[in-house]
Amino acid sequence: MKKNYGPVYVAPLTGWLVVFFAIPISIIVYYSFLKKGFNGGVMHEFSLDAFRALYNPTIFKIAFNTFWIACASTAVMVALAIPASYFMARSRHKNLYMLLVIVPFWTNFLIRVYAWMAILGNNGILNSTLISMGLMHEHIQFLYNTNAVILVTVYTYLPFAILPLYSTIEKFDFSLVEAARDLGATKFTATVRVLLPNIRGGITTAVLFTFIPAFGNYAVPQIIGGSDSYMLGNVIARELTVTRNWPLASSISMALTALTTLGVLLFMRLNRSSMESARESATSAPVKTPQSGTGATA
Amino acid sequence: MRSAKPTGKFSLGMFTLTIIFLYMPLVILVAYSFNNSKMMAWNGFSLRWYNELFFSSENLWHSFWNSAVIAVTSASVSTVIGTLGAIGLYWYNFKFKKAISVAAFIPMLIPEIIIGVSLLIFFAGIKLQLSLFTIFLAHTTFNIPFVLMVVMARLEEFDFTIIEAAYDLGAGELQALSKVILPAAFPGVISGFLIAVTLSLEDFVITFFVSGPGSSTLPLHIYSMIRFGVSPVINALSVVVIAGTVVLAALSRNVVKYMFQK
Amino acid sequence: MKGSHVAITGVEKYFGDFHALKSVSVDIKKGEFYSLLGPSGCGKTTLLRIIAGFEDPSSGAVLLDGQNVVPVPANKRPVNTVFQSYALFPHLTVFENVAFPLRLRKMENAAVKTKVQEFLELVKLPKEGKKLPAQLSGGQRQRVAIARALINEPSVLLLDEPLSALDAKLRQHMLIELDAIHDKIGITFIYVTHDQQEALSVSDRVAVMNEGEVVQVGTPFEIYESPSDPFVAHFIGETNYIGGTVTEVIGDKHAKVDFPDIGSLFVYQDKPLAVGDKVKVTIRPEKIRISSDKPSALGDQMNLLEGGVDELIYSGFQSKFFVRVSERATFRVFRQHVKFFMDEKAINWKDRVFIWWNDNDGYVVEVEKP
Repeated sequence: MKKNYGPVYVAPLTGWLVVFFAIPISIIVYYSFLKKGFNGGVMHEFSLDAFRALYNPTIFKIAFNTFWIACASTAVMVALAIPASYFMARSRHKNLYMLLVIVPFWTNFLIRVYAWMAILGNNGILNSTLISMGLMHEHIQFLYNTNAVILVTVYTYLPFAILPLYSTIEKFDFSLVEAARDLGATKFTATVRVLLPNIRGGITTAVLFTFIPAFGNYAVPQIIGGSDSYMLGNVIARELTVTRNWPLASSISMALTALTTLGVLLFMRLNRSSMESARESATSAPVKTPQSGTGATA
Repeated sequence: MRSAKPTGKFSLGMFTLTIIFLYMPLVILVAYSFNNSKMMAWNGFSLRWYNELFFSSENLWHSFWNSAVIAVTSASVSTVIGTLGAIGLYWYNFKFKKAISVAAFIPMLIPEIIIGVSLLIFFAGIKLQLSLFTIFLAHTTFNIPFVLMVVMARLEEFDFTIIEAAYDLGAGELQALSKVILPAAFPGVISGFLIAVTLSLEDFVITFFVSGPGSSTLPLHIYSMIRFGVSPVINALSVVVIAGTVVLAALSRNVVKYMFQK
Repeated sequence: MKGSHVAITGVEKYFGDFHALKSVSVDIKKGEFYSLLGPSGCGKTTLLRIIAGFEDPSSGAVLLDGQNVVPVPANKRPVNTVFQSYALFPHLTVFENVAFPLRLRKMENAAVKTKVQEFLELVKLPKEGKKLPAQLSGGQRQRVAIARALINEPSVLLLDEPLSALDAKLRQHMLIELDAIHDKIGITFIYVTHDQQEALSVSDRVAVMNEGEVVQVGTPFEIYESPSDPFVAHFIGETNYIGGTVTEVIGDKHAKVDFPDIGSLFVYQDKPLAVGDKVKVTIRPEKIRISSDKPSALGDQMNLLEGGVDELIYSGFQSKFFVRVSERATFRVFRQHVKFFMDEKAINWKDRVFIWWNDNDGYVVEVEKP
């Protein structure tokens, strides 16, 4: 009889994650139902104040901003990443191109953000170039607005979209596109009707990998954003460290997590149902779906 | 099959655009690190910012040292925990195995800021002073799922029959584990460790919440440089970081090649 | 050229420095089952892809009913392909795979249904329409690929090693069915294969290719019996390939040739020969008789040799002998087991044997004038 050491091997993992992940998250949940302390912290007294405080137009507006910034940057990233990864996967120099895409990504996150400040800032290169060319006479502030946040978010997370798409497209059987062309499809119809449905898994992964960090974004709007591009992450930080309303910080954290999860579930549901309608005439018998591989990880 | 199929012009265009987009900001940083002026206008070639970076930025180097220490320690601990966990989940069957192998990846899916906030509240609750140690705990926490994922992927990749072969040739269970599974998982363990080091060096958001006075890391230091008066020293630092990244990337590729392809 | 349906004229193809096709010219008649046969890397698939429109020739033309189609993109050519990997769309059902070209043309739903059903019946899969390709066996996928390629009613069907992924039994079966489909719909089939058995058994004509060139075009019979080139002689079937010097020309059909280490043999020749010419001769192993008794009353121009059995391979319906007739010469000989086992006198390893064959069965492939 084989001795089962499984639980022993898994114990440190489970223990660590329970103590430093599960318990802290539970504390957030717990705190969100408490009253705020006078000097920061909490009073151990049940209250729904923190949730009532969520029901307010400012928070709604910020939640909407957050959603819009995350959706817009995800859309831009995926739209750029599909053709770019297609090109990479079809090229003879795939590995070189892959390295080219990854290297900037290894450069420190804050330095990448800073690079855009150097370009877009009041005294940045864009301003000085435009002025020296005589196209402008005064400095314009390109930073500290929603578009700047979207741009820099795209810049910092783009490889998250390229990696899974690349690995899915690389596994794609290109004779399918040839077959479609052979049967009379134009390049465009072959792409829409054959390539895209078959790299669905990669697209889903790319959307999830970019939407989640974009939605919970804190650093980019903090550094590059202005008052109109405040995101939920910034509110949480403010309530935690400045206003010191911990129950509110907790309830917003819960809302952020819930919205992310909701967004992800909604997207996966949409994705699945359109998948099903695509095979209108699929069998009633149990179908083993030959899902195209969901791609790599970061 | 030889094929010289030209790929579409559209995808070539989009790829070129992507590469320009990714590199242009970095190229600009490199160029301006040699600018003599404090402003973005070009005022002649100079190494003054490098001079300042290397000889009068003690705080910066202190933060860098902190980052390195945390990266190595948290990566080591998370690699051990993650590898053990991967072997346990892959090799044995037990109650809650399925639940654990799903739950262990949740930290990867939760927005960073939530992890940072929850740890901050947790440390405050148990009255643990924020310090390098709390940063180490936080980094280990977010590193574990990544190591687990990489090692599991590696274990699932290799042919299960080699384990059966080991049994067939007379190996006991622990022998099969130490002589077959661990060596087979080793590339995964190494890349798990490297990923953990990278993530730790890179992290800003979580660190921001769990760091205390005097426990600055390199990203935190860069953040304060950005927030409180930009000095072109940061350009010079960026170049050093970019160069370091490229050199490390090349080195790690070669090291990995050398270790596993001899 | 007049009367040809598909005409390849002087097609060249380079991939970088690699010369994949060297001035290939081929004429294919309407309704013909035409095979491109050759080892892998000989350029046969490249030629097929040029006909389909997936590759452009570096120079030369592809004429379809006299019209050059090189500038026409793949989706506009009346040519369809059955791919080696089948290339079925994994996200579509069998029905939708076959209907794909009709959907592109926005054909009405009812018409699509009738037509797809008709073609699924043609390939004997009338009930599998709702399945996904992943749920089919290899042979069934093959049929779907054929139905899908035929539904546009192309005037030429291209088949790229369509049977290579099937096992031997199924391959035989599908080959017969392909032949039946060809007879039924009567369009031109161009069939690429590296398997000489496949090519010989179904084709009207075969083009043998090697290193980017067409080396011989002919009926399966011509290709097998009168190879024009040592490559063809060796590539198609097994053979004894020997070289010697002409010592006597007998009439206009035969000659006597002296082979070193073997002796003087009578051969058949259809090329002008003179005494002193060096020739290469092929003798098919199944044409040679073998016996441990010396045959009596052989004809005048029969060839008879004596030797020892070096090696013997038994394979059920036949045996293969390697007969050493001198220190440096062996012949391979096939013997069909046509008689009752007991009636046949067994030949064993190391036995002394006689081998003999007709003068018409040695065929002169190459001639080198002194």
